[in-house]
Amino acid sequence: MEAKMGAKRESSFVQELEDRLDMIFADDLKPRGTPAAGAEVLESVSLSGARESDESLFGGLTQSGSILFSPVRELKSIVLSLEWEINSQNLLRFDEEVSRLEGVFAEDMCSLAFVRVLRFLGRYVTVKGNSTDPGSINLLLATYDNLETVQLTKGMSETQRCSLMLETINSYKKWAETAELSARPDDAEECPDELPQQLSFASAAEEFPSRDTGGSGEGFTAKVIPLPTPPALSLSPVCMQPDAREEHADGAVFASCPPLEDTGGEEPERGGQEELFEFEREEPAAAAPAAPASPERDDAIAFVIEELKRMRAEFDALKEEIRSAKPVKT
Amino acid sequence: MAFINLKDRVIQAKIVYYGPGRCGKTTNLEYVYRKCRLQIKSEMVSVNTEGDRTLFFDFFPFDIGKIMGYDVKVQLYTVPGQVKYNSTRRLVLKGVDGVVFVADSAEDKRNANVASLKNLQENLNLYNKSIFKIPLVLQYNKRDLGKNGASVLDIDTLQSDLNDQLKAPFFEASALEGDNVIATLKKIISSTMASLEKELE
Repeated sequence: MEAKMGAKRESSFVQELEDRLDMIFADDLKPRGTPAAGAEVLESVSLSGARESDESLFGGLTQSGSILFSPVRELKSIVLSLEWEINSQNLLRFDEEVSRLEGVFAEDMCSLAFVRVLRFLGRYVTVKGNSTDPGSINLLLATYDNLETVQLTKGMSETQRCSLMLETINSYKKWAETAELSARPDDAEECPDELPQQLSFASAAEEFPSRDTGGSGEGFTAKVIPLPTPPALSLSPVCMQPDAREEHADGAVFASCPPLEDTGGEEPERGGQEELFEFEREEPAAAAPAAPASPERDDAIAFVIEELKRMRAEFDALKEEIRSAKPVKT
Repeated sequence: MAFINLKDRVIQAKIVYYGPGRCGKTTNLEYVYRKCRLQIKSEMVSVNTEGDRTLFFDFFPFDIGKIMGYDVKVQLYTVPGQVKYNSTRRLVLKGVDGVVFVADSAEDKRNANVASLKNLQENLNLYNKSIFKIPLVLQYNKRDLGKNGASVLDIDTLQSDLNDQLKAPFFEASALEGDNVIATLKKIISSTMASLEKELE
């Protein structure tokens, strides 16, 4: 019944809408020079009964799902700016805001899950830089959209919220799998011989100096280190994509990306001049001593699983570290 | 896409002010904002940089109140007009229900108006929307320039350039002085709501 606003009702609906707008903007729609009649308008509204109460016209906004009253208000602006241009400043703002929201949503596990996915994606983009695949940006935007929905939709049940969260996590998992499998061979090829490929985020932070601080070793790297811990998922390393290995079945890629331990003392001078997006080379790579030469996918998967386990342990340790450091920071 | 909850009787539409850089989109919204503070009850979100030009977007929700039992809300957005910010424009157009195209009446903005309208058409196409079907109102802004002796495009030229095929309702306006700003808004809200009703049928 309500779904069908029939033709007759339709026109009356629009008519009433126009009357309402006339009323709201009476001051402006009257010919110029007419004295303002705000008070009269309000009175006429009341008398006409067109409005149920002042509350329906003037109120409600503060209780509505407006982004303006939401904790994600600032994040929306940052996400939009990231969509426009991915640069170190926007990524830094994103990371800071996401970190802030983690505190805000500390008691809201559902929202927290979104925030953690966002944090992970943000840092993934930071590390991947200009070779970030578009899927990660799309996922970041979609995740934000879902967070916004969860935050702004009035009367959303916990089940609906969780459902949206699970949907996001599933998308995230799919993306991680796709990102892994679709890694371009040139991703690996871009890794120069002299650069260690088995840097973890944490070790990368130690290895690479800050861009902002001109090589002081502080600043930017600190934003990269703490790996986010999205629910039950971690990022797979890029330099060990099965596809990439298929393209380099002779193992040349991995030969050129030796484990950190093997090259620790031979790390070339960075000179503090590293561009932000060259951090792609820091992408967490294999923890195993050497990449299997075989291009077979099973090997690659096993290899990745091992790496994930190692990374998860690292995440947990980092989480603990962050948790213990939190009171000091705030 | 508009948010329509028939159960809770809520209708929320998204209207975007589009046009070339510095045509007066934000000025339009600022005027509306000043005129209906009671309905807005919140701060207008605006990110201005580079000499007060809109870098991201401006928006605010506008609560019209209950119409035939429906709680009607409109969200007003502007986009950055500069050519280089096309991705942001595209993003803001997502889910748009109605568009006000603000054209600059200054003579030297003739090409910019046309380019921006074409850009609108392209970006709407990305969302499978047709510029011929979406509720659209044209506003020929800065008519007051003529009073100051500046060269302005005559209405026939603007109509011929921009509205020859669209046949959209149009207004001569001066956002700075508030002329026809509200009339434009009223028209687009009515058109948008009428269009949404049709969709619901």
